[in-house]
Amino acid sequence: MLIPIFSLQLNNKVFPRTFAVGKFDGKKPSLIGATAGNKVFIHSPHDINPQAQQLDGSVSFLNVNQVITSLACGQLDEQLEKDLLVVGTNTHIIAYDMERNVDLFFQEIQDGANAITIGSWGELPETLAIVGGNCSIHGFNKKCEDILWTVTGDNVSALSLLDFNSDGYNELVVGSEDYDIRVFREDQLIADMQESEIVVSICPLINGKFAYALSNGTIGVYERSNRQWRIKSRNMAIVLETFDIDGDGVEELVTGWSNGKVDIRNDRSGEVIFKDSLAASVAGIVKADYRIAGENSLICCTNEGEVRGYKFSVQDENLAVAHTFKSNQEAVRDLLQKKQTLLLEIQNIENVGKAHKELDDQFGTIEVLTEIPASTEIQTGLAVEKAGNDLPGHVAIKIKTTNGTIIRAVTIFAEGLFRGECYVVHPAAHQLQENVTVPIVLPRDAAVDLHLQIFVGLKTSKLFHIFDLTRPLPIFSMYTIIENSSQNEPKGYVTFSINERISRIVLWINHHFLLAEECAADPASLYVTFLCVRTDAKLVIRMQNTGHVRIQTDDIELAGNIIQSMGKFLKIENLHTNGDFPLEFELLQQVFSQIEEYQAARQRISSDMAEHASIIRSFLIRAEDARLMGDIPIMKQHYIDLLHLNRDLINGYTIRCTSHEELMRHLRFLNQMVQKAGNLRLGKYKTNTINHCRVAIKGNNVELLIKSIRSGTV
Amino acid sequence: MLELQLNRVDYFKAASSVTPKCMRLLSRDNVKKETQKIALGESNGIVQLFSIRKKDINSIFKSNPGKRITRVELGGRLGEIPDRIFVAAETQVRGYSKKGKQFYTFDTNVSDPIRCMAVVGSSLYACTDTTYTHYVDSNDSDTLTFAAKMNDIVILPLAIQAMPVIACQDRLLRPLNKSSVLYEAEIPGIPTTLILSNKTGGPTKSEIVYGTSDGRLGQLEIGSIAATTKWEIANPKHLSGISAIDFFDILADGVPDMIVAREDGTVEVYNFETTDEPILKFTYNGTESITNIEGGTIANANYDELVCCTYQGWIFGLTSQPLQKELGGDVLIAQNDDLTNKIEDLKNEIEELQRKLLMSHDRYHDEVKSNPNATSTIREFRVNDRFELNRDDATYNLTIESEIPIDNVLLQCDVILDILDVEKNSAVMSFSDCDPRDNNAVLVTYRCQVNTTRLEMHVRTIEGHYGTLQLYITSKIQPRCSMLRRHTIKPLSLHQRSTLSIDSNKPMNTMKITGSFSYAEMHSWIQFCLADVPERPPADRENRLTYTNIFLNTQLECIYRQEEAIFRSENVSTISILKDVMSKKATEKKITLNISYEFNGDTIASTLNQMLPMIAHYKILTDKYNLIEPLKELVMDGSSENVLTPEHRHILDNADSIREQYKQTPVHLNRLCSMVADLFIDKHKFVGINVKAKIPNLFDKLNASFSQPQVFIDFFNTL
Repeated sequence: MLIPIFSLQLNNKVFPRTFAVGKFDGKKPSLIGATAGNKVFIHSPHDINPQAQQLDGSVSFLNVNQVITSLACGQLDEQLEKDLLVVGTNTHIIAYDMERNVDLFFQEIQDGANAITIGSWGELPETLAIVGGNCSIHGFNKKCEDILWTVTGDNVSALSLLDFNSDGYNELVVGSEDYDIRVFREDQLIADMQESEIVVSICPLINGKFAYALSNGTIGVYERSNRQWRIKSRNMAIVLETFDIDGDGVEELVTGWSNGKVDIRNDRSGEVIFKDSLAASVAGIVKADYRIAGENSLICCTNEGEVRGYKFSVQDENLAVAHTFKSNQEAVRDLLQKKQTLLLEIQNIENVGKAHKELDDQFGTIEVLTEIPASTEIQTGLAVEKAGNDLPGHVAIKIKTTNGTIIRAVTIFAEGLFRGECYVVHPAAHQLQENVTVPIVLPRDAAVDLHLQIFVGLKTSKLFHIFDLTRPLPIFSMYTIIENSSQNEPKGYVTFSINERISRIVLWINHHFLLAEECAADPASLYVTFLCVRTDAKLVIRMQNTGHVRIQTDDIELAGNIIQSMGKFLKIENLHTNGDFPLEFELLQQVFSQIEEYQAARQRISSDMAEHASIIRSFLIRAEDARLMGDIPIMKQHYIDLLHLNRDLINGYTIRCTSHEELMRHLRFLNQMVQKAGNLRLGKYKTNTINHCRVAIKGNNVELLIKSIRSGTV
Repeated sequence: MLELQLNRVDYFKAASSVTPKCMRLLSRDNVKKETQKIALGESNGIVQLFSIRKKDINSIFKSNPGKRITRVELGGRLGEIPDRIFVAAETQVRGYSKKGKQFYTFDTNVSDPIRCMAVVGSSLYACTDTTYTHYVDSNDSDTLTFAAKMNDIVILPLAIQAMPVIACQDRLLRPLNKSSVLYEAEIPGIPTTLILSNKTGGPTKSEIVYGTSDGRLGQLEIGSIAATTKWEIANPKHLSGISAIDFFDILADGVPDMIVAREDGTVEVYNFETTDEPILKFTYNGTESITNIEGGTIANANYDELVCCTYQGWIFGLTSQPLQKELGGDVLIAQNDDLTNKIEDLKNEIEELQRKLLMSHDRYHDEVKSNPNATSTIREFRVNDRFELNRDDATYNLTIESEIPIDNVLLQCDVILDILDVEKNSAVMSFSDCDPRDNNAVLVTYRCQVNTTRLEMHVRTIEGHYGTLQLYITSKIQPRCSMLRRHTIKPLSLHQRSTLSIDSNKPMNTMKITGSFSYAEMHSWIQFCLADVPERPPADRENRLTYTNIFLNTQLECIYRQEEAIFRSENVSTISILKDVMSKKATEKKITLNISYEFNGDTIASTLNQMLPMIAHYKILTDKYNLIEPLKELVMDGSSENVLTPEHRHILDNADSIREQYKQTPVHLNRLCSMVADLFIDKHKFVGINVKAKIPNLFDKLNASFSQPQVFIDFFNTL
């Protein structure tokens, strides 16, 4: 069991997910974290007496002068045998040697640094500081060389190094804002898992397992790419950590929540085995041999700077007995509850058929009841509807009862589709009917399960029967088949050859699109046209019996999704493709030139600012001189000038801000384009494409970039 | 002062739910060594008496199921220890001896079920929803009908004659003398439970303690002409309602402590150590709603404990017996073995039941297949839900409590509401988009975690927006069904009935309505607009009702009779809402109304004068709150605290209390500002001018001059 061993007040705010521990002299651990005013605090305890409950020590600060977005400690330079601090801001990454008080490097990084982790990645020989930013991942070594670079679908929100496939080398697991968890073996993507919200934290467990937390309050565990369990709470999980609390050598999962709760769960079942509560939202949890050498303690820190430390201790027997007594009692309570529920269910089911006269005799009083024919069934149908008068294109779920009973309400639980986790249809009282149509707009192409709850009864009922149904929606649900015509065909396309029969592709279509009737296979050739009801754009899929496939769409992302989905379905490992997306490329060219402009503008504004700063200094001195000499009018004049200058500065600052935002947006577009280009290929061709694109971007060569995207080679 | 440590020990699970005042502990039979017996009445009609032996129950008697038990009281001959168990089952009162012999059966010839009851000697006091009857030796002695529902009754054991005191839903306590009400004592919330102070009534035998549905506690001394308040505990932290109170010396300091159970499962122990005012000494945070609590010794004669009974029927003790004692360890190990065996047994039992369930399922399906005309019937499960106004922050508290686990709750409303989440709920709350064409303004689902039987929500209403709030409560058990519960949101939802008559010194606006409506029609319209209006109009030909807006403290008076109604309030918005509703109601019935107004220009100023100091207070509070963080950053180095002005330093020093205050009143400021806007619109509406376009101007001025009421009032009147 865990017992609390110390607590302390840092008296400073601690930003979430920036709390860490490091041995900056190689021996004594210190707690660090990002705090208000762009500072990093370092707390080193004076008092290393392991018995003391209250801990004091010195808190010192490190000024970063930029908004700190992430922070990590680790032995970036193995030869130093001590931890270095790596701080990420919106624009820079700083590696700092605390003991010698020197920067190891100070590197501009345009994509920002949302997450940092330090460690060895794959078979790369050096320890790297891996920085996740705006759709990109950089791996820096101690000399600040950008050893590795790759892209993800959106802003990186969590990073972790762990041995995913148990091959003895670390893979990088990346969570991003497009709800994806991707696993990279060096620069090769080896696994990709869809989640339902932004991934905020990832934490390695044993045997290739890892835990994740989402911004909607879900936490769960994956074993390789299979999810083992997950739970959703109404609070948000902030950080994950592992700690062995029962002394069996296997570490349990520790979660810190936004309401200050800390709970520890069994990694196999998700069952809570320990919980504690802190006064404010948890900002960070670390594991370190803090204060007691050689023995790890678990240290939790809140937003308000309250720190609490726990250690594992073998329980004294009485305490253990009392504890089992409590948990046994709880188990009995749960079981009794379960028993009663079962008894009630049996009673209910036996009563269901009986005439209510009989029941009234039995219960003495007349209770509210609702009868519907026992043969009542619910029929559901799914149809893709084009954009109409007042509705955008959507998937219509048609629900109907088989007799005169009415549907009072329908609730649909699904992940990532709605504003909340649920969508409710509740018709007005005078519009109650036996059928209900629910329009659902899928914001992006992803397979999703709909859990429907249908409230069936009579018009005046106060009690409704509930029908539970689950309907899966395939990934390409927002596409409907239309007639083939050569007019207005999309200009963009991607082509490739596969060693498969046409009927297999038809099978793929039938599985992944929502079709009114299944597509029939024609062994000679395949030619189908879809309309995306979301964007009103066409998608054409053709295939010859030679195995040559041509997918026509102007949306490079859609083309990529189709290839990835086909690849998974047909189990293709490596696939080389050629493609052209004239509309997207035009945009790309524009973005490329704008990026250059913004970068130039930024330099200009920076130099202006420097100039202004020197003018301000001189104005101030002159104004103060005038004041000392009693020349009020001159002083006033100077201060007025100063005011104007200040206004200019503020204007300059806002311009700089907006241009920075624009720049970020464009860089993001660029990175996403590379990611989409990679998605057009499978396996090693994918990695190659990304690397070629990287070279082209580094060389600032837009022609080369477009060529790389088109052909995947140089 | 010894620190109190209480450990939970489970004893028993009743078969159905147990409502308040349905569990009693019998006194010990003189012998010090014995433990107390528990008398319990369940809602499936079972009455039983049992004692606890070795953590298991030892049943003394148990009746058959029957009509729902609503009260369990102990009685006996005067001067003896009360050892007879009286239960109220719907309209019947039964008496059992402690051996289980049913010695008394009495049918009150009243149609409604008994809600509360008291037994003293040969007197039986029984109350249905609205009728109070006093029986002496089973003969009707006095009877009285009330306009408001009765929630509880206590009998003051006065020397001359016992005096019943009744707690009514309209926030009044009514002491009775025979068949007349002596006087009405107003208390700040709806009383849910009453008890004599120290169980005896104190030295004067006339002190009582009440608990309210919005979580308040208070003590009153019931005099012969008026009641005096001894103390009152408000509920600023928004804790849940009081469900049971008892007096018992659990702290073992010689003075009985006040034991309080709340609906969310919290148990509190208050001590009267130094003063006459109670001081909170101990809190136990449970999760299930506790309906009954009593102090006594039931498991081990050497240790006192608090016996609690939950709505779901769990009986557990909070015992002072330590769980881990040097010597106690062995006992516990033995008990652990017992428990482990019990767990095994239960697991087997559950497996057996599951098999049985499957079989029943199959049988049912076969039956359905063979008979095309078969019907599927579901029946109601017991749900207790309440929708009540909380006076402290002018929000409605909605509580749902079910006998069986809830899977989810769907909340639907056809008017705009703010639904606030409650920290203690574990349910995941999710707002759904809604289509106004379907008459929906709010759709919220609460998906509950395993074994949730209780849910609490806070709802903020806006006066003038009225409609129906519907709850669909879906059970977890098969066959799945969902129960619909409705609550109305009245047009004047923030008005609460008061006994204070209208302040004659204040300027008032008057609206006079005449037309060919009957007394009963006008009564029903008023009932539609306001809470706490009696079902039927009083017998007199004219009626007068007074109300207070609990948010703004403005008053409203309604005087009405056949063909005439007069409404007076200083708040123009109140009058405007009433006018709209009345006209609409009359049009429905095709009655023409003549409405005349008499506006007093000063009322605008007086209403604003009421609101502006509140606005100023909350604005300053918000500003202070927003300053805390920047100021903290400024003084982070620790050295520069001297550079701050005294005001700023004051903010920093009181940061915690400012935060606390700010959290307790989250959107009061917005609510007040929108009320100012409503007042502005309503003022001009009577003249027929639409001034919506000027609202931004008004808000600008409000932001600039909230601290100078007169400046703003002048602006308000000239805009």
